[in-house]
Amino acid sequence: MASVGKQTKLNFTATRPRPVIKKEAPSFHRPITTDQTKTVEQVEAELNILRQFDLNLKYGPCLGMSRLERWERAQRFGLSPPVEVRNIVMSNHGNTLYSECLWFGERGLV
Amino acid sequence: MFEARLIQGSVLKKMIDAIKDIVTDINLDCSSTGISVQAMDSGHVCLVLIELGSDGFEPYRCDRNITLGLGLKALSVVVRCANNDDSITIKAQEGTDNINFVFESPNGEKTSQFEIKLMDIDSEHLGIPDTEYDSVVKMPSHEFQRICRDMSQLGDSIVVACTKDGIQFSASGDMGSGKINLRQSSLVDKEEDQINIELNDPVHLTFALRYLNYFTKATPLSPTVTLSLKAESPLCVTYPIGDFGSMKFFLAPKIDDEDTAAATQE
Repeated sequence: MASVGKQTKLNFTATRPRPVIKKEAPSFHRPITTDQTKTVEQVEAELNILRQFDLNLKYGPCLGMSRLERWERAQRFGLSPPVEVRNIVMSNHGNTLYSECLWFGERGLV
Repeated sequence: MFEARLIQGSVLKKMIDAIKDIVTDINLDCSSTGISVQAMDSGHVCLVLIELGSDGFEPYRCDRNITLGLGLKALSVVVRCANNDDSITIKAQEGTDNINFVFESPNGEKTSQFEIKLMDIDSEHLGIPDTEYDSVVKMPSHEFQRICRDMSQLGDSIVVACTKDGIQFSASGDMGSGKINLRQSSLVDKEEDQINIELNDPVHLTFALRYLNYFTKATPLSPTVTLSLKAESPLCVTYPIGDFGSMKFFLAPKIDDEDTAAATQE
């Protein structure tokens, strides 16, 4: 019998993220929130870490997926992506400056 | 205000039973045309797509598009409290945190009401492209369930091959191997017993039986099931729901190692 092969993942692409009706009910998906008072330097430093992650070829192409998706994908492939990248993205949940790769929004690229 | 009553509540029971092992929570997207659900498993290997047209409900009221987030655990606990012949009414009011279920027996003597908290489920909506499939096979749903169950006794994966001779399912493992061939039916008494094979191009794909055995839990929903196959693409397993809806399962194939790098770079 032919070799069994490796399980692939679905490659459907996301359309616009759905507008979720926020409810006050206990949510199982509360994002990690942090104190919002950050200095400009702190913000720049965080974004720089994220940009370095985007540009690091080791983790594959960054276009077409969010940073978190790329991080989780890298994690699944055993590439040990830096935990701080995930922490930074998760603590700035909902902010596309953090959640999307640096070319997000560039016409013709993403 | 959203309100929808399904006279055959068992449809909802069967649907929930079919997905509770695959996904942990779902968003019910309700609009004037009906209810749709799209949910992926945590491994991003399979996706379930449920579409129920508003004409399957009596009454159906949806004042404004609303998305209702539900945990499968709570949902299946509640829905199990309905009898198979009960009607099920789903109600939700905008601005509230709950969803209501009312189960009514056919003679109206017993009424049960349940309420569960809505959840805030942040998920992206995936675009599922219209696909020109290489092969589309319609067969009795119990037959497909039986084949998946039997093949999983032999191995973890099933190879599905469609040629002009029909559709062949095979599996192998430590114990040995097995092959099942189905040919296009000639004349059958009942339409639902018919095996219908449409072939545009021969196709040869491998899938994990574990997922197929989850999908076939939807067998009680319909006497027939349709398998749509295309090279290097997810399998689509479709169970029609009455004449007003459908439940589709998409499953990513298993690909030989040399091809894996190319496939996952997409």
